[in-house]
Amino acid sequence: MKTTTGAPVGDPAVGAPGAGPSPRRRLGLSEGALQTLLLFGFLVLVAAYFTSRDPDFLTSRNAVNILVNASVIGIVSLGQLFALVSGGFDLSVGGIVPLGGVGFALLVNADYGVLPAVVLVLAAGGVWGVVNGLLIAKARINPLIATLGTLSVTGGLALTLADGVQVPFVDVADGVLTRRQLFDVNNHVWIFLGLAVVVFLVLRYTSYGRQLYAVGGNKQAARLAGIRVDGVTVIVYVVSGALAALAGAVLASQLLTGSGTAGTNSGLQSITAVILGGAALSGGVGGVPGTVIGVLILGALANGMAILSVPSFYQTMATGAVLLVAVGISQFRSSRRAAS
Amino acid sequence: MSLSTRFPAATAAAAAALLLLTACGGGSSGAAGPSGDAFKISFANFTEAAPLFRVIHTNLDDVISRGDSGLELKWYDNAGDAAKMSQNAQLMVQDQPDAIVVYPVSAATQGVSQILADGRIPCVSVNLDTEACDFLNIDNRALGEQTAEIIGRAAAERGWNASNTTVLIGQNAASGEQVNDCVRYFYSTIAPILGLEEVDPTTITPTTTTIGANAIQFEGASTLQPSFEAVTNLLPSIPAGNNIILYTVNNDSTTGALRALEDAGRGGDDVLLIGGLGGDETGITALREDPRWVAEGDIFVSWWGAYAAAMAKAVAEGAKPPADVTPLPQIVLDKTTVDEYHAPGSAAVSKLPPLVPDNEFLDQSGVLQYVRGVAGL
Repeated sequence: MKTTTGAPVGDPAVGAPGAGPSPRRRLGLSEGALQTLLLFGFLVLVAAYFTSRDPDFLTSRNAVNILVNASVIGIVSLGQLFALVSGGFDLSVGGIVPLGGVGFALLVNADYGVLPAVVLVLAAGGVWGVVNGLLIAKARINPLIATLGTLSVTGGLALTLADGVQVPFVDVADGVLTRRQLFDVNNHVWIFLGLAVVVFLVLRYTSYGRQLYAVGGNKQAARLAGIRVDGVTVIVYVVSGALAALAGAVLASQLLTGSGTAGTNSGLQSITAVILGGAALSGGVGGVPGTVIGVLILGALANGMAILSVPSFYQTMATGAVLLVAVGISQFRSSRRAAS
Repeated sequence: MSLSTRFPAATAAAAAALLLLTACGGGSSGAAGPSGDAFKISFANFTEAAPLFRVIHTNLDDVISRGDSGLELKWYDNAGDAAKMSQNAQLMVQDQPDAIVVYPVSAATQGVSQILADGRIPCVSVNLDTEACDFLNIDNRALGEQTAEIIGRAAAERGWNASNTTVLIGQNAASGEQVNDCVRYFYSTIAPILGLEEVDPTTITPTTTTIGANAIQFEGASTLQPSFEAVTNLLPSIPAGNNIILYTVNNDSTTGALRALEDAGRGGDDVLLIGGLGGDETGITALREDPRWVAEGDIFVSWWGAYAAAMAKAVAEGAKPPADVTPLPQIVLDKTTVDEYHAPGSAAVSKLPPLVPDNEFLDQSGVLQYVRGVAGL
């Protein structure tokens, strides 16, 4: 049986009985905070390494480049964080992102306006989230199978809506979601950072956030404690679906084109980022600071390797290696928690 | 669930699957009826789900319906899936047609080649080589070289050279060496025109990232988003103030890269020159309207089916292709020639290039005569 945790980020401090206070306890840090610090340290190390090899890496312009690329997957990862904390995961984002992108392009081309188009795309993503949530919570289908199914359906729907071709924006002014405005930084970067703050507050300071960690930590215990587990689960996938659809709209704005194939890898990428950020596949653990740093580490690795002219094959291998290390660490931590 | 309730359900499921398989099987079209003297071709298209490939089918149907071409087609859909391609190869051999045309979905065609070789039926492979078949393809090397000549001239007229120019080329490693010939020969041709470091094009491989001091190769995977991300990431490697020449394996990749350059403020009319490849609406429209887009490799994909059918018939009737690769129609357009081949204001093809010595034998089949607008036929 898994241990129940109600802590928003990581477990309560644990230590071997009789071993005296750990260095972490002496510093007054929770395990989650310490892990976030270590992750941040790793990000600094990555940045230091690439800067030592090429000073062009550490410029404000390149920092924006990293954020520009990372923000799309960052938005998806914030939704994926909900799913992983709940003890599931959401593969369907790989279909909802392109569906959101194509839908957004079609809507703005039909003169709906950017804001109504965003709202409609969010709603569509939310509807697919409801489908996922009901399949998982009510039909008791494993999240892997349920979201794999909706991944295929939504991915196929995106290609169908686009008729298999690209859907370019008729008016490039509709690309406002990614235009550079405030401080010469692209709008979607601010959207990502703003959403990160909102999700942080929701997970940290609302009863829904506490219920989510409880459900992810131990569903049975959460149910016995009076938490409406099914409702919490459905909301998880609604959030994930809506954010994936928003990421699709952002991606379409970035490319000034809706594409049925853009963003299809976002499922694996977002899971990698969230796991790297400290979430556990077993649920109940994970947080926004770690996820944001996880996204930035992946973005910095891709950017740095491109600047150092590392061939793309090796870049793919490096990303896979990072995922394996992150999952390995996650498993190690889960085993340690179970043992304690 | 008991066996008695499971059995009808399983039977119904099996029947439904059978019906579905039957419905998804090859469709047929032909002017000469189901038998008689018609020349029968089994044709496996890359996929019927995407308009780019679907039109290969519909345009060939249009050719057949236009007169007595004597062809009878049975269509198969490879659905972009290697397993389906292999299954279709077996079904086509089983059909025992007069000839087979296959548009492989990946460069891994050894298994399909074995099936077709065992079937001993004349066959034509389109775009990707299949050892057992004669090969019909565009000449990617020529596309790259001719595009480089046009862009090289335009760049040289502006005074671009090794001191102020970066060449960005976008590959798709997964497509194999032939497809990427266009970008590596693009560089090897443009380098001497602009005084850039000259290299043997065969040394430009999928793992090459920088070529001399003036060129960068990125992996764009022939699609928008990876190209956008790759170019965004390598922006710091392009010296500030340098002019940029952009060329990739297709217009999707070029569009993604272009968005990244524009997003970074590196896409001005005076500092960027682009060569497109595809001849699709994106490329033809940009060639007409975008001052930066100065060349477009036009490969007339929608007519590949007609050329493949013509070649299949010619080969089955004893013609020997004079070259290892029989060329498909292609031409590199510039702003002055685009309206010769595409109806003004439209991307619709109005004329196809004349046959060349290596594909002249296609006219013996009597099929291309039904394709409107092939110069000289």
